[in-house]
Amino acid sequence: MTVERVAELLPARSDAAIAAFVAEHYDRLLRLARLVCRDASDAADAVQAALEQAWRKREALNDEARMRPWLDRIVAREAIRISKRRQSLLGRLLTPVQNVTWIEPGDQRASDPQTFVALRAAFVRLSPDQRAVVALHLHLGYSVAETAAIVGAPDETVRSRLRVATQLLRAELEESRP
Amino acid sequence: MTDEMRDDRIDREIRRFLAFQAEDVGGAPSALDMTARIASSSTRAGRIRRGTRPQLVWIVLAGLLVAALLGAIAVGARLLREDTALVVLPTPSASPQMTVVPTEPLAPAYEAVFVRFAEATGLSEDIVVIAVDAQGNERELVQLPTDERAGAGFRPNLLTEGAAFSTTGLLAIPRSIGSYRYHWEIFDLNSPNPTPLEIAGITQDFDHRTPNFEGNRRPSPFWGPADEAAIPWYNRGLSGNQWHISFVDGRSGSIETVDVLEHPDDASDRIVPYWAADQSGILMSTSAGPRHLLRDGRLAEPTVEFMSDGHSRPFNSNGVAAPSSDDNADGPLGELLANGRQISDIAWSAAGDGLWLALSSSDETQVVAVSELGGLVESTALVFDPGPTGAIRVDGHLIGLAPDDSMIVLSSDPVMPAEVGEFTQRDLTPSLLVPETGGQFDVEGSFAGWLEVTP
Repeated sequence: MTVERVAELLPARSDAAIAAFVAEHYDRLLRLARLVCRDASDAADAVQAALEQAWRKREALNDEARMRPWLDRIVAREAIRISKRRQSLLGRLLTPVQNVTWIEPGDQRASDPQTFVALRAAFVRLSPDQRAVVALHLHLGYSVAETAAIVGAPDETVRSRLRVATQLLRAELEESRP
Repeated sequence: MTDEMRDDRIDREIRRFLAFQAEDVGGAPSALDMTARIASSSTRAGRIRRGTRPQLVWIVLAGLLVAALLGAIAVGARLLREDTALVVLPTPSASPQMTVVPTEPLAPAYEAVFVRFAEATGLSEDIVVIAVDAQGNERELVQLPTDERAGAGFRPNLLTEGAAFSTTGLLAIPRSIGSYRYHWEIFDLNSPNPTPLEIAGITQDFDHRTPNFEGNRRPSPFWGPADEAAIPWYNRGLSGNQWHISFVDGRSGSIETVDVLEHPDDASDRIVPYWAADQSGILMSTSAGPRHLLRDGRLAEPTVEFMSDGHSRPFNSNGVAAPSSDDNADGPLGELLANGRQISDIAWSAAGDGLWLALSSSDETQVVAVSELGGLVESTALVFDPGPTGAIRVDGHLIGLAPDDSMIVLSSDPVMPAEVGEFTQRDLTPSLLVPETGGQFDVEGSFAGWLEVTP
């Protein structure tokens, strides 16, 4: 389905520009938010907040090189906020524990050559701030300085979060080996 | 293995995990739904209409909680419980992945080419391309410096797993172009100081390196006749990824791109690394069987001869798929299966009249074997003994076969018992096997292809 076709199917108040805008950014932002939030619905909320802000301010951010980091900053910070809320005392009381992800045999991911239960268990033990810097630095490839700018923390803080997080993940991975 | 190399390897595994985890977005609204949300909010003075879940539900539940204070002990126990997550993965059945079937007379000799990072120079981010011969001797072909234009902070090791090497010495490798995007560059390693040939027209986000960059799967570009490469890639659409194939001249950089399918994964269609020997297109595996994808995007019956680029061989030169271990096989293959041997991967032999089998180990067999099943001749290489490790079995995967079958790159994959349920833990270690001599060499780096050499 093309962007133009989707635009035709949208309500009259929508236009192809919104469709193209969402198509351009949604998938990447959702993945980033998913790493921080651990929950796809929370991730979608974080992404929606970012896209709505970006859409309203798109005239001022028409430079692609500025738009993407700006979107990532909003998503990362919103995802951290939501995730912290979920991890709060009240949040943990009231939110069902989602501790199992089942993958059907036909799922494409089932043939993924690298899936580590141990890593997943370790990853969810990281704080939202740690998950955010890991996602930005190791997954999206931002430098430490850029990651620091995105999450709004000093470089040294980001380095420290990365060091602690990767040490935990590495240790978990090595322990899980025979 | 040095500490640095081990850390780099672990980091690669962590990154693969992150890529996997990031794709777990089931339950999130589609891009179309999100578009409707954004469109709706844009007409309501910026009011955000989120998903229906959280806050109100919390309030209701909070009331219930107050009434349930007598259960505080149980709730407290829940608070203390670790929020662990379990991914249960079925063991993938033996599935052909890539291909080869030479249409040329057998070449004199080949070396396996791997891409890794320099450590001797102290420049840990330099990319080193090495060739390994049948005796396990390594030689450095070239070092490629860190891309200075990678202003967004990309480290090249995030992308080198996507490098693909042609038998004539051309290396296609993804390179950062900043803002976590990358494009493709081709280096002619026949030159002592190769300069990059930039490929215009294919620019992808960094996270688009999946699925072709994952684990020891093959890299995206596959080389064909006359130094031409076919590069599958995709960009995003509201209803899914939109796939394209670009045919790239590795010498001039000229490029032709055709649209393939919107959803090759969902449609069970798969691009496989087979070129038509007459350069008319490539082979595609579809739910209706192998098809010839022509340069104009049309699909045709596979009536021409096909050739692979050295990354396994699920099809022969006529586009015929290798038998599956699930098939009701007869002959030698059937005998193996009848004897209880588990086959984890199958590929055609170079001549297309035999099969390479990667056999799983088990408590009984104790080895992962690679066997050629043709003319009832079986050569075996010991790869892995699961006994001391606690693995319930070890699967082998044929990730590279030399065009003359003289060498094989195999990844061994220990399958570990889980503490809870069952899962498959993958620790893919590439090994270079030489069936004729029984040689077996572990090689650090990502397998990129084969280099034809003069004896």
